[in-house]
Amino acid sequence: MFADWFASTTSIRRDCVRIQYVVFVGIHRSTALPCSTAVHSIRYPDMPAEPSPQFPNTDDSSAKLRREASATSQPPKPRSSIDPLVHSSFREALLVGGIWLVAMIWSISVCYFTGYDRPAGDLKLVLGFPDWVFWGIVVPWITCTVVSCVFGAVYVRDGNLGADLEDTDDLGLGG
Amino acid sequence: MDDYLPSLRSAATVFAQDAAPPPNVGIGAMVMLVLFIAGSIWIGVTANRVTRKGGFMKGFFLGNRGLGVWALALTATIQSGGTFMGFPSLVYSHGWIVALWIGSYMVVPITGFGILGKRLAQLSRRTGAITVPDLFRNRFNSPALGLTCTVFILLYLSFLMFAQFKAGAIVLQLAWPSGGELSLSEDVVPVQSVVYVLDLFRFEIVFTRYRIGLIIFTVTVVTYTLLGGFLAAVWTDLFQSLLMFVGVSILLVASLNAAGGLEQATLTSMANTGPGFVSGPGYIADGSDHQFLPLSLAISFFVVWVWGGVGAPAGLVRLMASQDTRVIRKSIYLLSLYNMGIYLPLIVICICGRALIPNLDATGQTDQIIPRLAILTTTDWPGGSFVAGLILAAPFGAVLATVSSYLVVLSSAVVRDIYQRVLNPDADRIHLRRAARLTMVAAGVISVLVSWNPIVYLQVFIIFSTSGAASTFLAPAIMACYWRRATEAGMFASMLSGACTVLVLYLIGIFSLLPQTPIGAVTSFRPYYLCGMDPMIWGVLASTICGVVVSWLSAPPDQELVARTFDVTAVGSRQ
Repeated sequence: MFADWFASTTSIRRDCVRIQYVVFVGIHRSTALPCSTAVHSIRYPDMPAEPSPQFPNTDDSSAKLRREASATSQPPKPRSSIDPLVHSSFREALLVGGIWLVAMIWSISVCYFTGYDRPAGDLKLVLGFPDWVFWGIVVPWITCTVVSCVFGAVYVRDGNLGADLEDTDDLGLGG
Repeated sequence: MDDYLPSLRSAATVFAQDAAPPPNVGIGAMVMLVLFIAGSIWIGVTANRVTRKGGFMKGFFLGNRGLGVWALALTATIQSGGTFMGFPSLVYSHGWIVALWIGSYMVVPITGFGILGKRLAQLSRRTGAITVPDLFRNRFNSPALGLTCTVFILLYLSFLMFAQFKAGAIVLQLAWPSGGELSLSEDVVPVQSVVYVLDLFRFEIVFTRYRIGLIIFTVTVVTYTLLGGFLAAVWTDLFQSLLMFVGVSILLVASLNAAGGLEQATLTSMANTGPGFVSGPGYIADGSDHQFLPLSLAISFFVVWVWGGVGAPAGLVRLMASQDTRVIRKSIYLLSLYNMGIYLPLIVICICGRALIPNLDATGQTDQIIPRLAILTTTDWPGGSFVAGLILAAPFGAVLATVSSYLVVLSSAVVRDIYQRVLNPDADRIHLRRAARLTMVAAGVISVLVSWNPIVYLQVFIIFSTSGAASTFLAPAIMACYWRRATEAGMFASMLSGACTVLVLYLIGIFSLLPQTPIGAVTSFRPYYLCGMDPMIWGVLASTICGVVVSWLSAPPDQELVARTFDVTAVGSRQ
């Protein structure tokens, strides 16, 4: 049942890829992130239309995006050699950082402005919790749990971690 | 420092008359814990058989990169003695505000796996890294960088381990049967943290329940970790995580039942303390101007727990050992559900605890709230002491799991990065195994000696280690994973600046070199809160800035090395 549901979310995941492409390119063109030296060398229109055979789990949405972008952009340039997993990991890390920031701003704001230095006579309880704890901690905690589940189930892309090195390393040491 | 000299008298003679008497408990609790210990050792023996297949180093220290979803997600490294002793102690002492102090755990699962998970797992495979120092050494082709990592890991994990040993000993101390032939002398009462360091030179040979518990705990954890290595640590983690969930659930029901519901517990605990118990910045028992969680510290801890977890060496090793990306992905939502089922109930339990056992803070025994509550609330249950033992297995399991993980990381750092690479490159499997075992035994012995007299507020040791480790490893780990331009010099600068920043701020605080801001936990082992912020904020900031600036100023890294770790590889080729 879960596999069927997951397969049914393919179109949602493709839409998420389109959205993240627009956001991702926008972020790296408007900021001077250290990683942009690597990212700017990526030209989505220049990656091959066919998915790489060693990464069978990647979908073809990026190929569609590249064809769409190439209709209005410059002629194709040589293929980028950066592993797609590096890209997807970085995108996901940015989104996770954003989730953390939103959670922090919400929790601290609600708790500080409604819970600090409050007289005992003002105490209101929601399901036994002080109201500032309920709205500032319990509700966002449940929300973050739901967001985390959706993130892990839908947004994170599978990729090839690559083969492990053999047991001996450059020192000829036992593995 | 002179203020502490009078405290060099024996802790038992100074404080014995103030100790809160331990609760009466039947034989059932100890039976459950003994069964738990036996189960853990059996797992260690089983793991030993598995790790004998294949290479010793990869099997003993990384489980042959075979962690599945449940093993990766339910890493009890996150839940430790701090979860079941230190954190509840703070809730008991300071009230509902501690919910905000721990609130960032709502995003710990997603950040713990989502920031570095996939990339670190890939990078460790491409570099053949078994340990965190391995990772940095091979990524930047720098043995010196690896050795530097090793030194810092030994420093921080040692502090973490010392704190955990006390927690484990306390559980056994309280579970010890009362009365009859098994009775022992009164318990050792906690002393100030600086004093017990000096007390090492006056080693007391008085055996109390705490010290017996300390020895039993140490022998247990060292034995099963020594037998099974990484896999033993992970499997016992998993076993203990499941027990923790069950234990917390039972205790939640028992506490709410005994306190008359959460609303009544909140009102009763407020009546036992004051209005500060239900509002920020938190309740302070002595009525002073000290603030437990001002706004600056609230922001700090929302950063510390999240990013401290991302940069923790024990957590990094788990990511390196995951099977594939699907495991990482599923672990995110499994751990999210698990965390919500542990931390929110624990806060409720401790609020009930304050209502039911109001005076523990007067004797400095607030770390015992969970074990005492487990025994108190199950006294009237049929087979109550067995149920108490099951509940006590939760904190005991958390501490066992954490210590075993740290022992593995410590041992791997010493054996792989010092013994094998520096002292004896020709060491065979037998010598490596012997070195690993000797390291674990030595770590256990040292921990017993350091924990012989327990510290107050073990959570502060955990915070120091978390802050220090994150300041040292977080920025370098992120740069190593995602930044091609990162250089060896940049990594050195990043690690050293982060570590030094935290160490300096702690030294200033401990020795009161500057006027202290009256915020945070009330203890002698405290940092200097620059601008009211936890030292980790400044440590990570310094680490990031120095890492970036020095990398840019130093020569670019070898492009072939960078290509090996960042670029697409041909299928089946070696890096």
